Amino acid sequence: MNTVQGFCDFNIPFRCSPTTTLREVVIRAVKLGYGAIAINTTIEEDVLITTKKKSNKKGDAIEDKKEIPPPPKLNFTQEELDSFKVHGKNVRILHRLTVMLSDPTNTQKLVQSVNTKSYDLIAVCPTTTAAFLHAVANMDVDIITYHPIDTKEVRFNRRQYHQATDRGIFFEIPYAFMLRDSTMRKKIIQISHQYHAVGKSRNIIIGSGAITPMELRVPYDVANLGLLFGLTEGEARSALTLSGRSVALHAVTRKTGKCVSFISETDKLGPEERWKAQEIADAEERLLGKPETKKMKMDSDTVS
Amino acid sequence: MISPEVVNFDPPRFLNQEYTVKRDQILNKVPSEEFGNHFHGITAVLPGEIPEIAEIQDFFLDSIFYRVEKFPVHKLLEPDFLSAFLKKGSLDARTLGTWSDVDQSIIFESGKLHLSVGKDVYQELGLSGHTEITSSRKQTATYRVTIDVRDEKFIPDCKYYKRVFWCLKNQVCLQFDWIMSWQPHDVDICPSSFAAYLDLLGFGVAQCKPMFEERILTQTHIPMLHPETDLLDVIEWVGAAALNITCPKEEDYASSMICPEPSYKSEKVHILKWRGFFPSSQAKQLLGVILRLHPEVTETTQPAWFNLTFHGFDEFRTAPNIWSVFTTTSDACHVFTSQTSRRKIK
Repeated sequence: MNTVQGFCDFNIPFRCSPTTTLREVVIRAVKLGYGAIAINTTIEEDVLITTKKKSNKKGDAIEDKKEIPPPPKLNFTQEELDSFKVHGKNVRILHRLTVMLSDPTNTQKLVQSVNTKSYDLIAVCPTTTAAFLHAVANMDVDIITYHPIDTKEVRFNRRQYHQATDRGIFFEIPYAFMLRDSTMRKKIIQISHQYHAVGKSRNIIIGSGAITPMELRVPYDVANLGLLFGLTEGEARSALTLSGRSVALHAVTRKTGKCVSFISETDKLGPEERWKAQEIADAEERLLGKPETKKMKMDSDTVS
Repeated sequence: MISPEVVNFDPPRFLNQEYTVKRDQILNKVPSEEFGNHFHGITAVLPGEIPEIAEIQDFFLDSIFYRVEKFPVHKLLEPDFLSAFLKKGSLDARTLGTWSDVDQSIIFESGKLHLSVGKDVYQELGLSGHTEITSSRKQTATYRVTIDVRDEKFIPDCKYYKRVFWCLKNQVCLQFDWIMSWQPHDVDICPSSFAAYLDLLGFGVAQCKPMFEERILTQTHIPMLHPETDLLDVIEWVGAAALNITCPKEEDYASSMICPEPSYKSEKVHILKWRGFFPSSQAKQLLGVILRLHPEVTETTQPAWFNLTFHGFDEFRTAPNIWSVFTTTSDACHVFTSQTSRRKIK
């Protein structure tokens, strides 16, 4: 199973500042010690609104399905990928889609689109209370995030918070906004205190949302910032590491459906996992007494 | 619910312990497994005239340790290696360059292999261990797996050995840069045969020697170890002396560091620093030498003390990082330990 390891920053926007490139931001994030990052593509609400036969209104989008863009391709050369290794392990770069939502009825296209499935993580940024309640109860997402400018007012109570928590959804607090403006700083601290008051800060993940390399911070500094958000030291630390891992796992289960066992072809296993195939083959040989070549790796109980 | 606390934060918790041990028992108690086993630095602060100082200065002259690159764990347990170097003599090894919050790290000392692994690696590893560090809400951040290599059951024919070897071999990620030191059980065997063996297997081995630095301070005020003095003040003075910070008798305008009272003036203070990789056996020997060279109590000599401080690695957080021994002319030795981390991060 491919799980993320180490410190996670799941909010690096694809559209970075015009003064820099995405590559610079990613390189800086890796140098600061993050083991897993996610490139975030944000789509506005008008992308989701189904236009009735007048699809030529928006210049470049002709068909409905093309409006949700596919995950961006990052061209990193092999040398750059090698230099990205943090302590000898490759940094995992995931793809994330964030949807700005104010009207709960607009989520049809999100579910139907083909491109949605090619993203690793899906996040929603509810800007109204109705959208928040819909996201918490019904939407198939991994992260509920917050935008201090676009969000008008969101009210929720403990029961709704726990609805999301029980489904495995995480609440994200982006910290790069705090570095830009004092009003945004106040709003983010306000929402984080609201999470603390209502939900005791369960299922919190801290992301950056940094559009320049200078807005990124070392993981330990971000963990200290978590103290301002009302998290304890351990909670802040795990908001960076264990929460990221849980979100990635939740994303995998969301894509594959609720399952208990995982079936993969033995030919397609990575080098770290080849030993499992070999061991299954050996075990079968011992049980049945003759070598059997099976292409599918299954639990030995189900072998008839 | 009320708003969270964002103004008054507790200072980071650390555990300082001080106690007194009798001189003849100290070598048994200290260093021991509770105190951490490998040190990366030893500092000795020895006030007064010491005629046999050369013995202390040359103590680590012959000690060698090796840096081995990209060495997977299971190679440590291969039958040849096991019988030649692990079952006989004493090997001390540690992984380098691992970040304790994120990566896995391994220690080998006194016949036991300790692995500190994260949740995913632990679940795939297949060996039994227990939780080492818990994070908030009872989530385990790190697991600890211990394998006793000196156990009688741990021989290449045995099922337990085969299981352990197979589990460790499957985990490709357990490959690190190591720092190792081997003391042979037999005087005839050269310690470098260990390095030669590793070199033969094809691993990059670099020989390293500890760094040694000496400074002599003259005409300095030295605090006395009185029953009423706070040991922490004397520890602070020792640290200042090691870092070349002067502590005069009166407070200066620029700095408020002063020599704690009561104090006496000494002609000479030797400050010796070693930086390298020191297993606890070598540390024990050095402590024995210091104890032996301690001057006897006479009426004319000032009440003298010698201090030896050991700086441990920070990775395995449940042992003290720093411990400091004061040997005095009387029967008692004072020990101070400091541990910066704890098992449960709230």
